[in-house]
Amino acid sequence: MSTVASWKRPLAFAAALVAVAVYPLISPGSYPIGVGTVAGAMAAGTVGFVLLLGYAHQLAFGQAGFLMIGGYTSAILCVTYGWDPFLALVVGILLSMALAYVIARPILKLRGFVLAMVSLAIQLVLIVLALEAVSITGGALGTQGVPKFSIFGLPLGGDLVFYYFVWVVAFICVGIGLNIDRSRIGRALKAIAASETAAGSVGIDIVKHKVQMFVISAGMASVAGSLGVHYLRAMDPNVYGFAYSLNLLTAVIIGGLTSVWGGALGATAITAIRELLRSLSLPLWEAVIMGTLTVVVLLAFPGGLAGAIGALYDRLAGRERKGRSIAVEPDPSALPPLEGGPSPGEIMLEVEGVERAFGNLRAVNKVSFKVATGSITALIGPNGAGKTTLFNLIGGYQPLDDGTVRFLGEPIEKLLPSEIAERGIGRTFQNLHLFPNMTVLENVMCGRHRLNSAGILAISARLPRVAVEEEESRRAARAALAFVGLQGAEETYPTALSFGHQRLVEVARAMASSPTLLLMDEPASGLNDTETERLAELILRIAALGVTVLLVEHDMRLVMGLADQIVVMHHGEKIADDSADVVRAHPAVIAAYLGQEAVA
Amino acid sequence: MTQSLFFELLLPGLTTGCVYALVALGFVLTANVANVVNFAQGEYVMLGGMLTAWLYAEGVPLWLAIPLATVVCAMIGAAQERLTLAPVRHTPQFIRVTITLGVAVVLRGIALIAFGKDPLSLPGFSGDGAFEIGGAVMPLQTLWVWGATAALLLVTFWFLKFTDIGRAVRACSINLQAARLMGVKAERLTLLVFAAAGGTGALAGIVVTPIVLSTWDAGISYGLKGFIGAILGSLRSPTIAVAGGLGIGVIESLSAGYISSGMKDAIVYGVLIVYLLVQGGVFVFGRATLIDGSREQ
Repeated sequence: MSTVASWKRPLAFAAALVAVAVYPLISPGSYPIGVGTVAGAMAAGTVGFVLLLGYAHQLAFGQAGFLMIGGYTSAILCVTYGWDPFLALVVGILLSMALAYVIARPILKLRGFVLAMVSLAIQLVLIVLALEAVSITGGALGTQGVPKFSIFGLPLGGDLVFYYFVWVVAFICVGIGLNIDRSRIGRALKAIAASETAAGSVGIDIVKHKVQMFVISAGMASVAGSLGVHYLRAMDPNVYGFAYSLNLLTAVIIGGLTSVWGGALGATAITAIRELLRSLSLPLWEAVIMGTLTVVVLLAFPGGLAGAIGALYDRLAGRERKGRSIAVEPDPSALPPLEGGPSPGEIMLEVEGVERAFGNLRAVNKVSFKVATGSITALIGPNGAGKTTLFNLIGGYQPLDDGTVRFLGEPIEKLLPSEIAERGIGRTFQNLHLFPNMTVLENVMCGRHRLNSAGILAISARLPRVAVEEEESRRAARAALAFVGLQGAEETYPTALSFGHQRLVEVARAMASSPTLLLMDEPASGLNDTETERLAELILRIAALGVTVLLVEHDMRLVMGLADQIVVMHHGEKIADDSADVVRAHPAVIAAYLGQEAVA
Repeated sequence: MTQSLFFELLLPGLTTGCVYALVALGFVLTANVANVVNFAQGEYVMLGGMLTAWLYAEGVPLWLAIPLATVVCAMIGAAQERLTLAPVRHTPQFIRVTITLGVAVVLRGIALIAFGKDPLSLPGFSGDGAFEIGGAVMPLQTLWVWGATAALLLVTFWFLKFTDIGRAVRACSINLQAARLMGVKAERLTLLVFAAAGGTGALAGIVVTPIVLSTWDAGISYGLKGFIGAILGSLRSPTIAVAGGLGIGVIESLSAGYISSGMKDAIVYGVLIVYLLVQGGVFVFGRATLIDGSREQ
């Protein structure tokens, strides 16, 4: 990483600190400081939302519901029960996170818009409950007389101190967000957004990470709700209504969905716009302006303010790096040989009586074969033979109708792709599944996901061992890139590479996960002759490390030259399973490929 | 007595259910052809009602105000597609969906500024008389709502079943990619479907306005409840979506009458959440969960 780039993060933090520190000096007076406090609370509430929406692409349209929970918890516990405001805030966080978990755990299994609608529905239910449970919440009139914020009876002092306190909390949230951003979980979120199929193939537990972000965003939203209520000194159902949800959404969109800073920037921008409208006596226009801003920014400036500032910085710092030469000479010694595992010749993968039908079509019909440790096994057959379906059944992408798949003696036919990857089965895809939203190095680092253990708490606090683990991942990813011959491509984005090189990135990503078994789905498709030759050498180098390879392939020359064992499929059934020489002369194989007449 | 109470709850439920059904149908058609959930769907119901009521108040006769408002809403629907969705056909889906929410907010905001905060009303199309079924007395306008909904549904289903364009729409909903390869011009269909969804939404809003009035912020509730209907059919089946919409109307009305009118929304949304929890996988484990959402976004 260049020095200019490594300055970017501290510079951004310093600039934000200075802006927040100086603002009350420039515009003193209780009203402007109050406005700054409102912006700070909102900033804290948007950080998790950026991670959820901008990083993991999970829509939640009722985010203000969690501000309601925080706000009501603080108001009710402090006013009715005389609790300490800080403790009430903590209870609010726990309640919000618990509700988020209960809701998200089942809902986030579904893709698409369900979360958007459900989160909106939850907020509307909360509003109804707040209105109806008059004895607890005060109904439409709300709860009045919320005390000023204090920590264990220690008062914070005047409005100015509270302003700074709120922003300190906001910066803590931003710090947590930045720590997540540059961690294995941050990469996992971007991977999920780009391709759930590929994310699963490197062992990323998709539901788990989505749920984590929903829960974190709920916790941060709850903090914002509590702090806001201690500023307003009252809580009612309108404070964090549907309009507030929309303002949060507009804030993260204007601020920028691809940067943790986007939330804080957007919250400040939204608050400024609202104050401007108020001073112009145009409060009715708020909805129209917020809605228009949302649409226009999404259509024309998807990076938002943070994206624009980042691009400006890069331009000023002259960080336009392009077209650095890529070393095509691979380094076979870059990756260490595989350690442990079964000894060569033992059965590694056992497919037994596997069946899968789509309606009346038996795509895979009672197929059985074994893959020996250390071998290169090829699965071939004419188009429509059922090879890719069989591959998907082994990789966990489709359920089996019948049969078993055993890996190192353990059944894996019921496991999900991420669980299968977790056990040491790597995978590449016929149609490339790279993550276009990450650099080549980060793509390959995703392969390390299963080997690293840093959890969400350690990452949020950026414990020393997290940094060590990151450094180790980076080193291993560079080694995997050197192994396939892509040194120098680390900081480019995959879309800037040729198709052949993109394929190599996929192989590097799979190899970075130190697989015991590598599944390759038509690795030569789309490659020219030279590239195919290089691929064959690469596969041999992979096997030389002790990694067992199972590939689906069309290119007969490639297969005949490489494979120790060839399994031939036709019309969903296995018709041959032997060494290359035997299979080449097998009448049924010739018939399947060239037609019945060729045999006669 | 109890029987007449039941009818007094059931029949108005069917009436609002008609609106939800038409909104649900709009959701299904736009979701399948344009591959986007249009959060502005409910706003067209609101706009149709508000616009007609406003035109009527300005002295425009009803027979002119109704088609005028419908056409304007259809045009807004088409404009929404052309201006805010067509330019970003290839961006991630969550951005496209968020854009529709932004459009919904703009439409609400414009209605608030143009027509004000107070509810607007229209006279019944055939006077303010009433009729009786099973001991329940209903305003005559109810028949207009039922009749208009039945007519719109008939036309839509006939269109889907028996015209080339309708068959193309159905083809898109089965397999968008294959439909394109077969020469279906999905871009033009998308425009058409958005216009139609805007127009039918508006008509639904117009016929119920004499019964339930029309307010600037009613769109979100119509949209959400219509969406619940649509999602019962997995956003795929127009028939289930319509039945779902009607059912939601009835559940809402019955729970308002038998349980609490303040809680009716909480009950309907609660039903949705529970349904989604069950359907979404509380009892489904393993790879089966991958199948349902296997369409990569």
